Amino acid sequence: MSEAMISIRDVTIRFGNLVANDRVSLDVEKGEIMALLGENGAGKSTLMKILYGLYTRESGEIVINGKNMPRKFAPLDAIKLGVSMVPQHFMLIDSFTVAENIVLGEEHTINKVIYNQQKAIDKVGWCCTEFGGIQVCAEQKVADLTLGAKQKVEILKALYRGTKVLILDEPTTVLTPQEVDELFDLLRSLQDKGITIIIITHKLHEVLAIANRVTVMRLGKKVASFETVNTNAKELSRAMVGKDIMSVHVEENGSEYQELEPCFYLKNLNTKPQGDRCNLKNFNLKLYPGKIVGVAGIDGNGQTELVEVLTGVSPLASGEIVTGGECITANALDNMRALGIGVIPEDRIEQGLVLDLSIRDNIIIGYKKDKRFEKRGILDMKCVNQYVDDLIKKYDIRPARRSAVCRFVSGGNQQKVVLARELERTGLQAVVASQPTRGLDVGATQFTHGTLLKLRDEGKAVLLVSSDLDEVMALSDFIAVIRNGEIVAFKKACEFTKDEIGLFMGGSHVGEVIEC
Amino acid sequence: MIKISNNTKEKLKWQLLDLMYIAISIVLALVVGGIFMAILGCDPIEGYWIIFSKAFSSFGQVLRRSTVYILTGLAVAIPIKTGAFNMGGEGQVAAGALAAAVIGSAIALPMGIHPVVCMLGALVVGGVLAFISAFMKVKFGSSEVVTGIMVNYIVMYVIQYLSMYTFRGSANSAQTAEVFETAKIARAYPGSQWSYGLFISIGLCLFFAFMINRTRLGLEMKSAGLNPLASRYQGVNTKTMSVLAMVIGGAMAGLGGAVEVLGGRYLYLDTYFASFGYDGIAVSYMAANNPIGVIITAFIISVLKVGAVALDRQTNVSIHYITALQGLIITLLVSPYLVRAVLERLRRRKREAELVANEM
Repeated sequence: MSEAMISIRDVTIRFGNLVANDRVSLDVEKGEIMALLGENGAGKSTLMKILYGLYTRESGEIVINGKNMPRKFAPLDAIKLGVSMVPQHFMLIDSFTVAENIVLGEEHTINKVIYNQQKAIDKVGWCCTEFGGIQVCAEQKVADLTLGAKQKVEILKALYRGTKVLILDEPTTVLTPQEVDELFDLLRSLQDKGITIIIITHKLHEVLAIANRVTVMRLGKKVASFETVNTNAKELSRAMVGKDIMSVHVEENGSEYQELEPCFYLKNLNTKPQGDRCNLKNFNLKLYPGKIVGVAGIDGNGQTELVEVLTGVSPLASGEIVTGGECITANALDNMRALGIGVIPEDRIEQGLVLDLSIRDNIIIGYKKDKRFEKRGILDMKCVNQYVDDLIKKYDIRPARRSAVCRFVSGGNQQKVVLARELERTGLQAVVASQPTRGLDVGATQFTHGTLLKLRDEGKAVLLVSSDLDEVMALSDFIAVIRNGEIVAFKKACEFTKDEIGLFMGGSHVGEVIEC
Repeated sequence: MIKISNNTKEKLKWQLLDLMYIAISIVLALVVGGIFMAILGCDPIEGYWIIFSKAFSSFGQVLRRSTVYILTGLAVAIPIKTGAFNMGGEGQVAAGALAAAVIGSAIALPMGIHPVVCMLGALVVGGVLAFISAFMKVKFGSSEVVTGIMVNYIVMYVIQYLSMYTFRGSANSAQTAEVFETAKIARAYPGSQWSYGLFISIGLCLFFAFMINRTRLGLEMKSAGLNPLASRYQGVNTKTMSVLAMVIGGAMAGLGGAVEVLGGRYLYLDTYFASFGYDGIAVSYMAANNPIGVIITAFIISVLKVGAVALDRQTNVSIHYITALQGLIITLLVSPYLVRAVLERLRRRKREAELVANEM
């Protein structure tokens, strides 16, 4: 039996009245890959942040590599014992080279006083070969790297510091399927080198693919621990959610797209360059009534800009939006709203909601100049309250109080507020849903998916923009792949394989672009 | 029996919590202020007794000051809803006062109409001054705080010149002539310090409370201030909101100056209006920028200010002590973590005590 690398005993932490970790225990053995599985808000990240010294636990014991940790310790203490964390959002300095990023804070290991770039590059290169399979160019600027490569730099940074325990927080959310495979290969080779790895994730198939053991957390508690060879996806999901999940059943509703009449035609859209954002270049896409068009792509390839154009927040430089005989070139907000487009923005906290306003105010803010609710600018509170209460009931928003401030409402219910506002617009023709389930738990995800499918069945055009490829493939009738602000492929969903989409996303598959 | 719904209860709970923070901050500030007083060689209890008894005996004066403070408080409270900070209150009050004094003393108009015209003039002048900062903010991205302070300097010296030369109405000091009888706002009763201007101030507070909570404009202002990006996604023109709120704020400060001229001093006297604008910031902050709360905090500040005069006269504590105390209150209020940390600590201790009790 191998020895324990990490031993966590009965750790409890609370934030105000919320018990984020309730007497959680976890043992990780030397050289194994342990997955920490749970929905958002289950307390996985919190537990790891305690282990890393970012949060101070209220009670419980932590032993790292045989050393008993005091209640309060700093990340530096954890690092000294060989624990390191690869954060979900990378903490790299864009304008520095890979080598500079890696040795940052450790320059003294290269030269005492004067920093020597060449020596750093050599040393990083040595580190790469030592751990086999890591291919990064030490002289490249980090800004020029893909997200997958940036992640490797983060891992390398940890290895350079002689890490023994590597914690990865949701490592696959920004990767293409191919990059995920590469990452897993790398992790396996690190395991062979004796490094212990903990992966925080909410994706079941990844757990089964990479981990030796899995610990499931729910609502701040540890619910179960499995050897991955002895379990399956169904058992894990039941442990994670606490009940069986019904998978969304999508019925194909026939007919070829060539026969369909598009209700929205986005023609040669171009946006003005803004800073280092990706702008749309000759973007073409058709939306069909009663169909879901999924846009797959790696984050930051123009998805945000597409949604902003359809919202009317970003002005078009050129191009036109054709619908029902109308042809719009000035996509001002009022014009877009008049077309009957409901928008579910990708970031409900920054773009979707005003967190410090109530549910009611957040809904009513979207109904500008609606004669039902206001007379000469004065809100008819009786009407407003009635309307909002109806929506709260219809969308099952909890707490079912219109005066509840959105900041104190759970993520899933925040999204329901956005859905209620956007989907109940009068004259709704099309819905643009961008990352509609990002950060939501399983229940809220199902609700959102169900809502989108219902809209489709009601004959609305749905544009689903998501970096979750599984989501796009499960829901869409047609799939378009976006890369660098362009659509690089468009096909019926059933004609695409996951690998093929991944190749288009990564840009290594450009030959057969299908005109749409 | 009045039935209180869950909604109102929840709301009330939050508002009570807010009130508690403010009350705790004020009490803490008074305690620390008492220590200062003791250091200065004055018995704190006696000192506070002097302040409050003076404020009580000169109640009319407290109300007269409140009238102006309410308006300069609104001058900060409204713009801050949209995330803009009106730092120019100081100049706007003085300019509004001068405008009212000039219109009141130089133009003959019938009773009833005259004060209205004077106040309109002050509204416009204050609004225009605020517009300068607001416009520069949305057009060139310059900080409205910095431009506000700069505009204050320009305004103060320009109107000093105007009151000394152009509109001078007295041989002895830099002041305008007294306004005509027709332009005056009636005092509450003959010989009283305060005028019906107080009702204008309170009325405007109620109006703005309604505007912010019950109209589309108010909702858009709030949301523009709390999350500009999400507001733009909903079609709110955040820049317009910010400029509009600043202009309203400036107009309120200008009106504050006018009301004091028409209902109190009856003329513009140079430097008389100093610090009304800056005190407005304190009034607004103490009220958590709530238009109704402004009425209460304006009153509190007035009590302290009026009482300070007696404190200065009867003890060796200077009149500036109140300004320091005011600063102390604001510092405590804007460091919510301080008060919150105290509360949190108390709560935790209670919880630990309960745990221990349970285990025993």
